Amino acid sequence: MTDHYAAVEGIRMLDFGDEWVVFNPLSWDAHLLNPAAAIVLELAGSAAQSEQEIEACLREVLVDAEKGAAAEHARRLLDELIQLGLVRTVAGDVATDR
Amino acid sequence: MSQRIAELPVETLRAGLAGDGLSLDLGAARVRIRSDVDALAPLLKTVYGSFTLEPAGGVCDVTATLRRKGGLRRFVRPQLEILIDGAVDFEPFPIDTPLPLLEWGMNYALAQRASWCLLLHAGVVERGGRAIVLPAMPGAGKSTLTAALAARGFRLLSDEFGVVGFADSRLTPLLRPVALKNQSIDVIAQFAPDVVLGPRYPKTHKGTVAHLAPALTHVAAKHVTAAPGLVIFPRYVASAGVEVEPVTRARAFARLAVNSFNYEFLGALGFDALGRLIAGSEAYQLRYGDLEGAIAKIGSLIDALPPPSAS
Amino acid sequence: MHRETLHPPPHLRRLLDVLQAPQRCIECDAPAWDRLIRTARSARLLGTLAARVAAVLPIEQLDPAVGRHLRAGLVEAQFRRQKVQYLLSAVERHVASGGVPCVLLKGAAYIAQGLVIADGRLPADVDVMVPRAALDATEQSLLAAGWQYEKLAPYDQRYYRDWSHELAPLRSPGQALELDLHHTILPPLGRLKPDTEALFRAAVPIAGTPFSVLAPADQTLLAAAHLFHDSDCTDRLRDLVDIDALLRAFATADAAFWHQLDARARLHHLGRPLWYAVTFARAWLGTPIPDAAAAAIDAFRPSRATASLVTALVERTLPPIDPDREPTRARRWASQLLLARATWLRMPPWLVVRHTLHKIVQALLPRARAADARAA
Repeated sequence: MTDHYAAVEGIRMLDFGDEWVVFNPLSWDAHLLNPAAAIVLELAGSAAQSEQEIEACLREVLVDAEKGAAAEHARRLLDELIQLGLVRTVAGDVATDR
Repeated sequence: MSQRIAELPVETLRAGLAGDGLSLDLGAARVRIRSDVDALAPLLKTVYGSFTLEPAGGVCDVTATLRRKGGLRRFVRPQLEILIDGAVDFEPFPIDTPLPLLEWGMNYALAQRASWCLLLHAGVVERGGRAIVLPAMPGAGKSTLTAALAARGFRLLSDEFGVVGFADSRLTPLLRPVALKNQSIDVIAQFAPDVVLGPRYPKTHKGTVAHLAPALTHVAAKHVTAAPGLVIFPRYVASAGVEVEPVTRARAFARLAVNSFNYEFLGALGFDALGRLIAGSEAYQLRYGDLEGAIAKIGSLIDALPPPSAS
Repeated sequence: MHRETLHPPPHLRRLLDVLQAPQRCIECDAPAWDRLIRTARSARLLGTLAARVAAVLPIEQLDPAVGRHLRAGLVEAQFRRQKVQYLLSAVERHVASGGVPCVLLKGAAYIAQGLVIADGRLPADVDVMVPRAALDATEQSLLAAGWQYEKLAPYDQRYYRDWSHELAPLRSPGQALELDLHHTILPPLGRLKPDTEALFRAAVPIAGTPFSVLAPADQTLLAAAHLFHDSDCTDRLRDLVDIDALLRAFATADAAFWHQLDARARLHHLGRPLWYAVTFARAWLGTPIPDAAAAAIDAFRPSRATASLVTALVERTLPPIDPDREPTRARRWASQLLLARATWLRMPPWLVVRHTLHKIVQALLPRARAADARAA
């Protein structure tokens, strides 16, 4: 069963073009995200995603030079978002609410 | 009840202060001032002259009592203290500084309890229905610039508090005497010789302080809100002319959040209100040594914005 | 309880009325609302008042000048609730891992149980209790994770460690609230010795968390002891409001609650503070108590003389000051006496003498004025 990743409930995102400002409902901090991180977070907010799904999406939006590193970027961004408390791991195939 | 304070006899004001208190509507807040200090009434007449007295017995947001501090100190270097709702939370001041103590005490109380809005630490003026928010970085000359803008046709909303509504991020006036410090007092006195200034208090913990009375037209408009417009981070640099640089919205968000009295206590409410304010504003860093030039520049920036849509 | 009626001071009546019957707030005219809001804020009950009013009518119906203060009270309380939850999520793995029972106390417990009483409350810190045997390891784990003690003089550190029921408060960067780590609920050398093991045995787990809370009767007794045994009662009306709310909530949830309260009061020797708590809650907040339960609790009453003295002192000190008046000298003296009483109850006599001497010496030494420490 692959792990899936979902945005935690209560996140709010502000799109300011090149930068996104995100409200962390757990800590009440505001975080500054670059577009790649914002895309991952938005994806994870719409539905629980597997790492492969995130990688595929990143490959679409990254510039050609970076496409090859999509897998790495996906992993790194997920780890950072998890560390910030914006994304949580949901076990198995089905995202369940806590 | 439509007489301005400037037109009332000092004795009437004194009697009010010593009794139930004088109630003032500052726009976004109402305050009640009580005192048995004789020197206060003529000071209020000067710096709150354009305000009218509200009827006693209303709901006030802050009730401040200014009085002599008791105890043995009464006789050796007497002091004044300020009580908010009966409690002393503020260090006492020397007896000859009633107005600074009152103003700082009321600022403190407002900043602590106004969690019904996002409260920025900023000067705010308005033109064309749009607000110009000037966050208060130390040494930035925020008050000087705010007072100067107000003297050049911009409507003053506040020199200290940006009151941002949760529902629509519009700015509401919170009109108070503008606290000018040190050189800024002379600068404004020269810049706008018609302004009404209270006395200079030379030895406060912020240097010399004087208070500028808000103009009648601005006080009359104290319930007129303004849409978001500009956020200007000022920096006074004597040698600079006027240099303007755009600030990214994300950056402006962060800097305003840090320059807020209560953003950190508001959670999503504050985030949304600030986000909407930023989204509706253009943000710039302004380095200026030339005050007139800075005002002209700000004027051209705000005039270039489209008129705000009906809210 | 036949004791002569306890009189709340006049400036408090409106607040007590509206707390009991929030719909009565519509009877308030502007001056009444002004005093009500200011008194409630001073008592740190503005959020509680707002929550109770909001439960019976929409705040938008009220004058905006009133409504904004109630909304501000709710916003403040929401901030506190959020910070409690954030702190607990951050310390979970330090205080409640490896099978160590971790019991939440007071405000954190009310939040974790989802009690209505938690709405509008303003917890100042987070209190958790672990067994004495686990205390050192828990402490080490927290310190290793970046939690720190405030700078305390060595005497004060030792006081906390050796003689108190809790460690000195712990702080962490990024956390707005303090963490108070307890190993029992009352000072261990004090005159009342609750049965700590029984507290742990009866603790109720909170589903979905690694934490427990005390059994309802124990929570109530803790609130009573905390106020009437371990404090000088000064400006602690909100604690009495908690006690009334706990009694109502728990009694409604379980018909056996009064019986348990009586039994646990005997077990923990906390009948005396319970008597004070119930006496005041009934008189000031109208707590409904069945006659049989009242009679049982009355068995814990102190001597007539003690009851008279202590209740007179508490009457003077419990309420917030009238926002339009000076606090009276009588109030200050009453506070001093109750503080002496609490100190006396907290420690054996020899410790009281040493503690008092130390405090006197400290007060005489010149030192910079501390920041305002008005208790939250």
